Amino acid sequence: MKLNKFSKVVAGSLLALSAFASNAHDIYIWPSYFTLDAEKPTHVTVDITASHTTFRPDFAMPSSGVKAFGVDGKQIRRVGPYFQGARRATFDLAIAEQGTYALVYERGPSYFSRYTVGKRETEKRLRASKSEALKKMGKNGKNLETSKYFTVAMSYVTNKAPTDIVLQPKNSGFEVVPVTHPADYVTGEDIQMKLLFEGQPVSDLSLKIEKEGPQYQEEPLVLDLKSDDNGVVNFSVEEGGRFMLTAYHKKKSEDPEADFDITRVYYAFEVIYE
Amino acid sequence: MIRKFLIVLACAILSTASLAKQIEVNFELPSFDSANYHKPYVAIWLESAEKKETFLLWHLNKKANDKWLVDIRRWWRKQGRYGETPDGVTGATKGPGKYQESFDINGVSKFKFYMEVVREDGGRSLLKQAIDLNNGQTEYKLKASKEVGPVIIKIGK
Repeated sequence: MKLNKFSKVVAGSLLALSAFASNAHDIYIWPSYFTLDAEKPTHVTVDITASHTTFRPDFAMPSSGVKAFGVDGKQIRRVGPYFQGARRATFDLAIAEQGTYALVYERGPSYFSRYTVGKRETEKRLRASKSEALKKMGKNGKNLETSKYFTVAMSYVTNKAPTDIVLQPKNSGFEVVPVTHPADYVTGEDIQMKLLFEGQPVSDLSLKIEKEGPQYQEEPLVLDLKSDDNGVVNFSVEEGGRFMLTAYHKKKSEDPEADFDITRVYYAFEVIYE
Repeated sequence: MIRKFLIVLACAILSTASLAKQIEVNFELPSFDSANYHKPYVAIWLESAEKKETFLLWHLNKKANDKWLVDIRRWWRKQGRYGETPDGVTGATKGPGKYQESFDINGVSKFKFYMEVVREDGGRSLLKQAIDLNNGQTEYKLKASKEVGPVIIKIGK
């Protein structure tokens, strides 16, 4: 009986921990194959995890945010069994067509507030909208700031010749749009992407690109980049491998329940050697 | 005036006539003292402003569809993924040894020659050589790399 109670407490706190951790961690949706040559229908395994280290699974993500789009751009309604383990979730994406598929994990909007209490201005953080946080903090709290988060993790899978339909921008919210086709990211060659908000270029936005497995690198490969006046990001890498792009877009919110709207985009891609 | 025209015409005919129609490629696949040796995949092709053409593709062609062709990376991106490889250029993988292969270059005069050799559980070599048939050079030597010995390209007739 005691053990059961203890287990529940532990399980409860683990859940809380994972919920918080997944908010603070990068979210990855990444396929076992980015490019393949399949004449007959086949599968690509897709992992979804919130991770502290690039491409190392730490926290499984629920299936509710997973979306897969076929080469015709239409959402694939049935993606098959979804396994949610302790550290990663996974499913098999059926590949039956030739062309480029899109994988997306979407979460949000979710409110996140922080305020300070006492003379020492101890920071309190909670998952709450502005009005909920105001109730919670009472008279002693101050410096309340609420953000409304949208999270998007994305990746692409190409079977045989690449196609462009799934790369088209939706012109809604903040987007990272490939200009160079994801099946053509090659070492030493320019790789271009475009940053858009509501279809308009987002200039001067900082973003980060990190190579997988920083724990195995003497010096982790991280590129700090900025979009130009046309919202274009241009870079090249000398080492092939799997990479993660992380972009944060922040703007003043028009929602009375939030001060800022923040969109976080995580884009998993591979760069191959020529 | 007519004489000048005739000279220009003669030069044009001569230069067209002298352009090679074939290239001969001599190369060696080295042997490896490996516990898990697999014969390599080999692709030879040209890329020019006008076209891309595969000359040779050695792979495991017992099956009609070979899903590992994607591992011949550059060839795959430039040629393989866009469709069927024409009959006559494919063949089974071959072991260590010296090889001599001739290819019709079908009227292209300025192109880049590519050779890619990929071995499962082994290495990969990508060789390239710009070739311009108009400059009169009759032989090109490409340095050996890990997966392929020295390559000699002879410009035929």
